[in-house]
Amino acid sequence: MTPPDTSERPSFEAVAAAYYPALVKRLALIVRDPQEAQDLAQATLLSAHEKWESVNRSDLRPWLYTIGIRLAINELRRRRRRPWQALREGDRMAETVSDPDLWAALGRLRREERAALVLTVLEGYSQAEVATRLGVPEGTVASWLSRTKARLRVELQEEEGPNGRVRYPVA
Amino acid sequence: MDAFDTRLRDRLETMESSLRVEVRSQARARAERRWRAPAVAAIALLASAAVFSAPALSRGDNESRLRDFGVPAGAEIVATQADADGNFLMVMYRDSSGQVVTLGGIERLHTPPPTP
Repeated sequence: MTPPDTSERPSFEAVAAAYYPALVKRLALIVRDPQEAQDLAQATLLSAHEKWESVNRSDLRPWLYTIGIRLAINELRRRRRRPWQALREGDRMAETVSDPDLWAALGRLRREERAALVLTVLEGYSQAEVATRLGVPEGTVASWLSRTKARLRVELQEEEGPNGRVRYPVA
Repeated sequence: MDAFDTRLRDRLETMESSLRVEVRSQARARAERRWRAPAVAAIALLASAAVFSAPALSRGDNESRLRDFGVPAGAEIVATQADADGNFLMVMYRDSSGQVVTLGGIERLHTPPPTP
């Protein structure tokens, strides 16, 4: 077994400091609660630290994001099994976002659906890669994405105009 | 990626970058610690980024406090984090099988408060 090459790897502290703000924002897109996003980002770094010595990766950012998103989904599953632990799917960030229509539309999706959407649309993963990262069957991811995009097309009320231009509804 | 995906990506990126994420202050973290001590430990990690490089705590000086925090007797302490009052927020220790265990973190985040 070849030991991981750590010669070119930045220190854990440097990675944590560099990626923490973006990690919180990415998780906030999924959990919609700034406090929970911070909690999850911190738990992500704790988990990453435990794996740090055995990791040989140049793509640390997506690796961290995947850990965080998995934690977000696992936390949701855990709390569903323990109903006395209230979900904090709040909307406390609603007044601060730049695109309230999109924020509201995302809020009507399930957390898993938002996670799959973020991993494919923002991170560029394939459905198979998302399935592997989230530990669910590929068909499940395909179903989430199909349903999610269909809903967003309707809720964002996008329609293609002439020459492929998008017409947005007039408020 | 089709045109809808591209527009969605652009809107998501713009919205994500606009999110205002507040980093908790230590004072606020202390106020939350009764309920959220494990999370606060990680906050402190990020605030100082030095928690794991701190020398491990001597067991002998803190046996009862470690036991109260849930660390088994005889476990090797790997790292600790405490607040300004000396209360443990997070302890990492090596159990009898050699596994590193972290007390603190998201698993304990939403534990109901203790009965007064």
